[in-house]
Amino acid sequence: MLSLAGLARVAVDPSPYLTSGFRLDRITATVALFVAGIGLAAVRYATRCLEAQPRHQRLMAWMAAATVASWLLTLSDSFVAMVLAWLTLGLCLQRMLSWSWHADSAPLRTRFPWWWSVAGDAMLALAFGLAWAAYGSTDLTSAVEHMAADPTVAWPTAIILLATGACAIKTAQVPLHGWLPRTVDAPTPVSALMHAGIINAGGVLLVRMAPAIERVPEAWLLMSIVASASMLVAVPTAWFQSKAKSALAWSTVGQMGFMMAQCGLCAFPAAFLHVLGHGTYKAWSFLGAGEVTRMRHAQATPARTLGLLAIGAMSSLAGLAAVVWMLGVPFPSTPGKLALTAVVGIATGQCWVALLGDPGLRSRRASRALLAAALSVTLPAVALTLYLAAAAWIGMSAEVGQQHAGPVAWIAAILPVLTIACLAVLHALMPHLEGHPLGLRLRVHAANGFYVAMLFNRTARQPHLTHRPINSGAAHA
Amino acid sequence: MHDRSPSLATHVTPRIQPSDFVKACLQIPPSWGLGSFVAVNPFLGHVGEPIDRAARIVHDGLGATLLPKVEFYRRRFLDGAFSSEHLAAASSRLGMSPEDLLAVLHGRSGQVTRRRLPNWSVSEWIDWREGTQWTRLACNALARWCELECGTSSRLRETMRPGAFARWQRYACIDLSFDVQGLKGVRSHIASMPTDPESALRMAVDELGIDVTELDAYLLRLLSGIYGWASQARRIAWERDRMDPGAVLDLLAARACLDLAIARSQGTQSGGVHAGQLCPPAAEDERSRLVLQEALEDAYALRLIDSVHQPPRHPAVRPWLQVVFCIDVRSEPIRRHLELLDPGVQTKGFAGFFGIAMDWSGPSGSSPRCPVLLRPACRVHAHGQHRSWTDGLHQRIFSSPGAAFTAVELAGLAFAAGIAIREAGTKASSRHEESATFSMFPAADGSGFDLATRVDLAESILHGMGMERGLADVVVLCAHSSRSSNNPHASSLDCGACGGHGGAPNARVACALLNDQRVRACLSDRGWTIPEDTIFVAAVHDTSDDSIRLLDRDLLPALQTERVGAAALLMDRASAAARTERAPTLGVHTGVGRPDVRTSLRRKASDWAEVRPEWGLAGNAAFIAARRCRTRGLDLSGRAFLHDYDEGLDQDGSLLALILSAPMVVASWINLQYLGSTVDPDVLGSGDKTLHNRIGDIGVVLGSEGDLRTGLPLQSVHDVDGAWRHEPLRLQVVVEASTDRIDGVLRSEPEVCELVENGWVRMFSLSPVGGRTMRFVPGEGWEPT
Repeated sequence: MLSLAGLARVAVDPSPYLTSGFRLDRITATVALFVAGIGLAAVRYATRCLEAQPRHQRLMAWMAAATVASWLLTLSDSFVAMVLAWLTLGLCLQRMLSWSWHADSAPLRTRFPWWWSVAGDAMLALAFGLAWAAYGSTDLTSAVEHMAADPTVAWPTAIILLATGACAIKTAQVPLHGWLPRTVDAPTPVSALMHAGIINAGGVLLVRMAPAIERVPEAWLLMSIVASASMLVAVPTAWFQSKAKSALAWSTVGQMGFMMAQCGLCAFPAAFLHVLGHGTYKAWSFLGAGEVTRMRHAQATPARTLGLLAIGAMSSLAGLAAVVWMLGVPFPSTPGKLALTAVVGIATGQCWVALLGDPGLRSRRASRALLAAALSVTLPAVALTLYLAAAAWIGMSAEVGQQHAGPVAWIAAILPVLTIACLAVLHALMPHLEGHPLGLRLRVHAANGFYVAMLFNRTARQPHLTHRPINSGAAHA
Repeated sequence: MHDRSPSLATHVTPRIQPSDFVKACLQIPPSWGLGSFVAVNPFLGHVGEPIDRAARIVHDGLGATLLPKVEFYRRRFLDGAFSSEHLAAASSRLGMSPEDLLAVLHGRSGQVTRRRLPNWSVSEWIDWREGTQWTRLACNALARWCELECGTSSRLRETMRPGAFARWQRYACIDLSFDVQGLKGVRSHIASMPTDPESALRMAVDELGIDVTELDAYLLRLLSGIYGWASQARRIAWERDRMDPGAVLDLLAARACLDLAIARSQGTQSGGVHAGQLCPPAAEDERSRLVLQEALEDAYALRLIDSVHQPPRHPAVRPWLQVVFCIDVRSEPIRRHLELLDPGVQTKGFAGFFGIAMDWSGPSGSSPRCPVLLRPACRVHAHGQHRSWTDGLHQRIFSSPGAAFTAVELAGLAFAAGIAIREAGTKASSRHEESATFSMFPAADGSGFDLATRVDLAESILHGMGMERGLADVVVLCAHSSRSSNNPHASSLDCGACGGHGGAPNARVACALLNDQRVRACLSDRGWTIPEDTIFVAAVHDTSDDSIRLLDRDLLPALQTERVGAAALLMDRASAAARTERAPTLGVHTGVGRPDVRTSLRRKASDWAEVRPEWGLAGNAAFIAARRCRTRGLDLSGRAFLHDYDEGLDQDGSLLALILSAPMVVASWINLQYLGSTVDPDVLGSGDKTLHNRIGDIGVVLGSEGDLRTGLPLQSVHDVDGAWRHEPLRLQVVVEASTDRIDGVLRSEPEVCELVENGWVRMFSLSPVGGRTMRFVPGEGWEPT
């Protein structure tokens, strides 16, 4: 495992490509290093935590196989290798999701439906098949080049839409996210690996297909709709999960939705950063989920919260203007960039609320206010710098993306921003809705994940009830 | 509707009383949250029954196994853990034939089984017939409501109070789970029921046609679906009144309500689903397993009693160092090593809160530091840094949409450092409780206690510890605490007598009290003689690596400094010996090229992937209340709770009554918790630790959904290869007192009598003067062993 990481690191220096069915460029090398790192952490953790379990070698083997498959998927370029790795990854996931320690006993929950995974595999295979039929290319690099240069619209649209669908399934976007909350039924390090490593496969593929996606506005729209739905369903659900791991799992669905939204904005450098940052954060959170304790704080009046939110957001725009002026770069103008700016604005507003929202907290009020003000400048500055740095690192011009900003681009940009803004306002109002019938309704439905996953799980075959304690966890089929 | 017409009944049946519902609820034991995870007897609701009957009830009702399966006894028998003589003696006591059981053990004849009556809820019958999953869905939906409403301990308290049932009804009328899964009408049926739990229960029971003879079994079966949350609700009520079912009744009503709603929606009323359509598999007979259990315990107890020393002929010389430890079984090895190293050392056993029942309020809030059977009598305020504005900031940012997205993107990679640090196993643990300054003097906020109370406390501590005379120069009060990382059940490894916390604050307060010159002056007025130069030193035994730290040394009067230094050195040596003895059981071995034992144990304690940081009280099997001279030097393998008791210092037997009704009861709770979690980790334990999904400071759920789990994790009682680390023996209580005196206690303490008479603990008497030992046989009385 260490050698994999080392290999990837060596490969980072010569930034040009090395091909022979594999492609090593800055995107793939960075992600390969990341995947190997996460895999290493999870497997190391698992060796200590699972060593006493029966059949643990088998589970560890699946974990290792999943890591290697993600790693190969990241680095491979040929369609055949990619589809094979993709299939292997699906298989590993399936086996780990319906894991049980004893060969003869049923898993903790009912067996997992597998058709979602196969549907995704089929879509990817079909997309690659079409690319081969249209351009005769057998690897991703040339297919993307062909698509980017193709004067016709039909082929790239079909291929990209199919590939996007496959990626949406792999990244647990909303109608087909039902498997992700169930990852919690696997041992801790396995869930960590799923949430930090495996889930990113789709995102990375999207970033690698960036030049082609930029040409297909329909894909932006698709991604934007799917992503908004994911955020809209998953984010409130996560608020009402008392179980630490379940809250983390639902937050992954929301985060993946945001990543997808960034792809829909053609902000690929940001999506790339998000994949890495989220994976690392989630691995850390999952592995340490035994000591997470959630704190609830006294909340201010809705007027105060919303006011802070608005002031924070506005001040961040002013901060961004100042930063832009100092750096001498043009102020963001494309729909995608404006949308990202808006999200950073909302985030700044929420930091203001977090710092200043609790009226009961009296200590260091001045320094907290100062910190909030400083964040209004530094947050946009850091965001912009990291964005530019990521763009430079993966060799994309910061200016690419959405060359033809038609109405589709605007819709694709406004939809997720609107979603996030609504969620932010809802989050701010939530403590005050507690007693209200509407708040109760929201809580009840959100606690159930808006039933989407429940509908999905209905397709699974249920085991027959036998004479067992009603709710002792193990379903003895 | 509420009353069935008497003309329909062919014979007069006793009416269902409201008290039947309450009685069912009181079978659920209370359980405490993760912040103060103290041991509870999981069979607390059944101690009024003989143990074999209770085993039958919990097996049929909860699906739980109390006594191990015959297979376990067979293995132990073939290993030589008990012999056919033990079996013969045990069978004759319980009136069974030893030959039959011997044949079973040798595998010559099949296991003795008994018939088992089906006691399913109506929805289970429907599921069985239709192949549906409504029961599981109903239990999960109810558990989801509990999770939503009781995510933290303060919310739990808010929710689990009167009116919980009506609130659940409001929730269930909105919840679309059943509709989505294809069962329509559940919501309207729930809405049509009364909002009062008792009326709703009565309505459900009447309409489902539950016969009064099946009622108890039916209600227990319903409760088994929400056992974990019900036990939390029971605890909330327990803290007010032990006979109050509290919100358990509401949860029971909710289960009955769901059962009725499912039955109505499926169009099936009770109509003929009962009555032997399905014969459940026969169960292993509990009575014969009890005989095997007795035989196994006899082998252990008789060996233990045989090894006890005769009473000494000469009074002991005055020791220079006395160390008072908690009665916890983990104290035994280190006490033994300490005394082996220096004959001038005497150790004593006392409940680890040292008689200080207090509320300790520190920066992270206040918590009771005494056994849960007691109520804190006062509050002690620890000084220190209070809530800072950075607390929880990270959680707040990561829980707001928008900010979470941006934060993950901009700062997510920094968590790689966090992973690296945790993987390297370097995370400092806070020792605030061991060093924070505190004040025990009365303060404006009501904390602290006045001089009279302090003197009373000091007196009762010295009396309780049997320290009327012969105080050493240095008296160490040694509490214990544990360290582990990323462990939801960390507090199960701490001191149960301190309410599931480390015992350092209690030891520190007790020593401050006893070193106080004014208190000592008042004590001597009351006729106590504490040598002027005796000092009390607080210490804490870290059970994760068996080290002992002396606390507050800078606050000690400048007396005996040399002796305190010598004591510290001695304790280090005893620690090292105890550590070496214990390490192999944790898979830590010494040898060339390996890190030393202490380093390895410390790394284990701070490793976030570790699921077995230490074995806690696994192996506990005996409670010995005797003078230390009877057990000094004996290797009890860390399996015995050792409490000091000297009949000569207890004129009226009140001290013995206290010991048997408080520390002994607590020890039996611990013992039965370990027994339950070992024998049945699925129902009575909390299952596989790697699947634990933590709910705030309340408890854990296994995997993605289901009921809250109670009891200890699998990894706390089962070893690496699935072998049982804890041998499930009941508590063998050995008391150095005459049988008359013990009988007196049994008469005056009905709670203790219940435990002994019904076989939840086994009582032995060790004569204080001669070598005679007696055994208490339930229903018969004392017999020579």
